[in-house]
Amino acid sequence: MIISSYADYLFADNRLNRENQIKAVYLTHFAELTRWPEKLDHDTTFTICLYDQPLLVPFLEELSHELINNKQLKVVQIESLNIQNNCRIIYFNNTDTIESEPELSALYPEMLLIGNSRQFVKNGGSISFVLEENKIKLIINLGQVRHSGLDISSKLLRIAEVIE
Amino acid sequence: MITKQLLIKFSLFPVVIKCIRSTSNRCFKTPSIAFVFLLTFPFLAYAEIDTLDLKKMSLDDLANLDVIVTSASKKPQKLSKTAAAMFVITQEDIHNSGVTTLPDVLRMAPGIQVAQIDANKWSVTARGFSGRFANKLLVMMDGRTVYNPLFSGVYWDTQNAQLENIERIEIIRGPGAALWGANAVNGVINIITKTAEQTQGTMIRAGIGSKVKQGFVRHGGKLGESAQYRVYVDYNNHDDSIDSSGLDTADQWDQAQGGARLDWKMDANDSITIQSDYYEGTSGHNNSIKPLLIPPYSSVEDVRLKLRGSNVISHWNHQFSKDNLLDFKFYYDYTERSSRNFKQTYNTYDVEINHQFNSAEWNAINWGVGYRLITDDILGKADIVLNPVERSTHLFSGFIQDQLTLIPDVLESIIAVRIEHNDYTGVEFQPTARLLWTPTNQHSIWAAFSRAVRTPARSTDLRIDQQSIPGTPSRLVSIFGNPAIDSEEVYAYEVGYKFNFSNKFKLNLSAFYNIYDELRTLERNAPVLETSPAPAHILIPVYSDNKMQGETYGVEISSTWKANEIVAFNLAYSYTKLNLHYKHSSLDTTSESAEGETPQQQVSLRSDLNLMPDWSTHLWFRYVDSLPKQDIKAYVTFDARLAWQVYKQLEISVVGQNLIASQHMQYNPEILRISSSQIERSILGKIVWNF
Repeated sequence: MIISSYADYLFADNRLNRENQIKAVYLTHFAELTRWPEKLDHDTTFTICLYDQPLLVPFLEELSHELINNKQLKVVQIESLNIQNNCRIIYFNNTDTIESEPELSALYPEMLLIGNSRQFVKNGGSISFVLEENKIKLIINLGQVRHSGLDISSKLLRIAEVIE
Repeated sequence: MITKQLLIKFSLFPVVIKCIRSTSNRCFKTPSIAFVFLLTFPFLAYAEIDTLDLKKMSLDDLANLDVIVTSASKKPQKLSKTAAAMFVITQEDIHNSGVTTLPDVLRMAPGIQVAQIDANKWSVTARGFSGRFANKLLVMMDGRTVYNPLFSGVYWDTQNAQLENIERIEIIRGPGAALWGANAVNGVINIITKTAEQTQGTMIRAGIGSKVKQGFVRHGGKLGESAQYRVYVDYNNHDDSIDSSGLDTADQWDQAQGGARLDWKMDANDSITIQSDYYEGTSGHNNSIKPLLIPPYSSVEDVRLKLRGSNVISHWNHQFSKDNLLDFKFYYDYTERSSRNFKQTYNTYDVEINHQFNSAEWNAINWGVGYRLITDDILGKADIVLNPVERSTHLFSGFIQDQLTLIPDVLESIIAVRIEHNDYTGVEFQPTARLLWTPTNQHSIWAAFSRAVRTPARSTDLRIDQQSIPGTPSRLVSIFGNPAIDSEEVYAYEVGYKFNFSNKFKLNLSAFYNIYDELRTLERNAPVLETSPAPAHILIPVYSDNKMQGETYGVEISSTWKANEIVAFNLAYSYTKLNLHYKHSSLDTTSESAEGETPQQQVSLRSDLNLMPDWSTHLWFRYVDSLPKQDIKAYVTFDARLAWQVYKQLEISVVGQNLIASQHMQYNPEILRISSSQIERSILGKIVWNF
């Protein structure tokens, strides 16, 4: 019963497919266009963690056949907000629970924190997807990113709205 | 369609779901969730664009992608599913290459021969028969045919496409006449510009270099909720080239162009696009030799041409349903080229209707009708004259294409035919039959047979005085068009193989064997006494006729290898061979030389190297074989580009072109007797600012 209603919901909402597909592609671009600390160079895998968002998994799986900066892409579902050492990118589908968190970047050092609202980047997230005029726009909090010890290529900044 | 996707997607779910400890020590392990995944994946993965294709898109394009797709445009076919020798040049390819002219962009494609004659003239052909006045290639910009009605070729000095406005260029080698119409004998080049939606914001580009100065400003905005527009102005100035002794050849070329585009989504099913351009420029060449009937029997002068033109094109697109689309197109084009002694003006009106629908799940039909009216005024005062000076020509055409799925996902056939009526040869019949076999997702094999014609052009009414031979009386050799000339025709046999190993490696092979008949020749007629113009002289008339046959064959290879995020390679190789023979009754001795005017082998290797996040480099190596009949040596050259993304809106780049030799020749001028030019090494600095 649950299964069929879930499937029906998804099938009816094609928009969600495309939206998640684009977001998944963006996540791999973030992985490639971010300068990570050198000590991570030796890792053989690159882990993208998804909090409360199973719908991105199939798209990321399709993309996992390609190496990301010579690392194997790994997709991990997490259901806790505890410190996640292995994650390089954490995608928070629902940011309600963490928006009240004062020091996000302290909690997740050297990680890109991705959310879905303008509020999320203002509160210390790294990048947010916002839907504007039927397109997915990026908002990047460059100050936060650099504070986390990372840097983002201007190729990405060029297409984003940047706040410091 | 959905069931098809379902079957494919059902079998591949190696999902990595790892259990991570949480504060409560619970683990993400609900089996039902995994099961839900399994069932929902087919739907999830059913999106119109392949995820791997999305990944290949430039970031700009990704940022401009609609989440809800309502566009009623022709459903693009995946390249691997095309039963033709097709090559696509993307905006990213153009941007990375740093080149400044359209013909230079086309050098990326296999099977396309590009040679620069001087600063403003090129020979661009597909699968042979090179020459500035080459006439077997159809070139279109957003559905507007840009070939010149005088000789059915392209004056490239007025096709100053703003390279930043181009979304992609589709290049189809081999006959495309059944779908695209007359003169798509050896290929079709389809230049598709970005929509106004894709060019929102402001872009300023300025460049200065050893051969080129250029400026470009573009602005895009919105008109209400559902319409977007862009306007642009563009200026290019290309310096004189030099002759073999290093002197300028007076072929300097400049052009200013402005234009606008409006895209309006009227409702969910209707959209309208209107675009317009206007340009003015000058172009020219030196040492143009014209025959005289009295001593010294020839005059030499530098020729300056004024170029002017405008066009308006509109598309109305209606979607009856997802698989039932109607496109109504109208365009008007005005072209004017004038020098002191020769002025050509053309007005072209074209209207076309195109309808595509699925008559059954396994059968797609595409049909269309069109009418084109060209009125011209071609006034020659010296060595080139047309009779009559003014003429109107009408072209009626209709086509139908049937795409039949024989075995779903595996075997497909395409049959198409175009019937045209033109004022010169009447009814022409141009069919094609294609078969596409896709045994697995990675491999596809196709074969095609087509017939296409190159119809006569306004040059049938032409006379060119070519050479005056001293004597009493003097003798004048003149070339005449022939109103009774027939269409040149080709029967083309093609096969191809496409291999998509992954997003990283792609290989595309094609081979062709073309049989030509009724090829144009120049036949000498009996001399006659001509009293006007005075003084009386012996005229040796040379008429164009259809007394040559031939076979051409060749192989084209293109391959893309994206080694990793840092390095990517694009390779194109072409082998082209022409065998031409005069018919018995022919007295021609020159037309066969086309055999030695097409490079037999060409190699293009482009590599992108992105060592640092904000820096990119592009190296482009090219080899072009010799042209024995032109006395042109084989050459190797390369271009290099270094670009720095200073910050998100600003890019600075330096491009070097033809870097190996300080100068080299690529092609001789033809028909017009003017000096040959050397193509020089050049360097260009460029700033692009987006805001």
